[in-house]
Amino acid sequence: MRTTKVTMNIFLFLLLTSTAFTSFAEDLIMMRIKQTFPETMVNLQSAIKQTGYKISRVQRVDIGLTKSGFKTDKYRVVFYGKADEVNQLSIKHPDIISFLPLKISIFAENNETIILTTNPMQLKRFFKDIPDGTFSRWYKDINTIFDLTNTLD
Amino acid sequence: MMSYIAHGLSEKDINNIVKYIRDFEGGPYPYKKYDTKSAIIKVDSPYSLEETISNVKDAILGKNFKLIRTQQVNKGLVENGKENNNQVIIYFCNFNFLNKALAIDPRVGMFLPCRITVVQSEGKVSIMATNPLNLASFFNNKELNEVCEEMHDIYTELLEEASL
Repeated sequence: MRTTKVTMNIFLFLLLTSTAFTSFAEDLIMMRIKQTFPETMVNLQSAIKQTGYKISRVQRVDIGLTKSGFKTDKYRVVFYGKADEVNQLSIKHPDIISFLPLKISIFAENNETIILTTNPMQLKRFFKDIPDGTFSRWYKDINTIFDLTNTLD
Repeated sequence: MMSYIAHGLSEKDINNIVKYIRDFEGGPYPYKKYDTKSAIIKVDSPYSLEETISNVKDAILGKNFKLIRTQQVNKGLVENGKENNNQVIIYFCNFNFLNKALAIDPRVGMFLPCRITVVQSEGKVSIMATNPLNLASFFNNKELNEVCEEMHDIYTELLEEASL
């Protein structure tokens, strides 16, 4: 029994430290928050604003599902952006428009809440004419937003 | 068996391991009949911006999707009345389809609601949508791949129908 456990731990350690693993480890950026959905929603919106972005809309996915007769827990999508950045990018690089404004999904799981988004660095390979700094800044800002959401009271 | 969270792994680590192990199956990738090299699916429209938006809406309704809303890309970010009317998003949904996708993996909701964007730039009107097949690669889940393939086909048909 103990041998199996040790073997599994070694296997997991090797997985976590392998180069292949790292290369696609962050297609999605996700965090489980040990707070209820309403608290996390307030903190997320506050964190987005504190990071310098404006919330353009909150899509209530769960409401649409419930109205259509499906049972679901709370599920929202928060759209956000910076007006100048969205305006400039969308004019210079129209193909990026499909990914704007940026968004973070938030959904309840029992008494906890999960927030997630796609890693903006994944877009870099598709939009080589957009300066790298844009995607790395988005990545940094998302991590700041997630950390703030997790730590705000 | 003891939870690996108790062993000190984070949920993110566990998700990444699951994704990595699923890769051992050798696929469902690569898609042979699809283009996964593009971030978006895009077609040019021979119609005006207004006609194209109307065509997209008709095509969406024709596929039994529900129109959720139509808005400019920068709506909510700029002052009311200062939105760019040449960049319009049409959000739509089929709640049965959405419910099916969420039941497979609740994280898929971040790609929803469905969206088509109509853009007029330098006198040319284009219709575009994100390529769902690239999203599928984030999960490496066969069932989700099927959903994404279905969505890819739906988007392609909608774009073609609206621009014909």
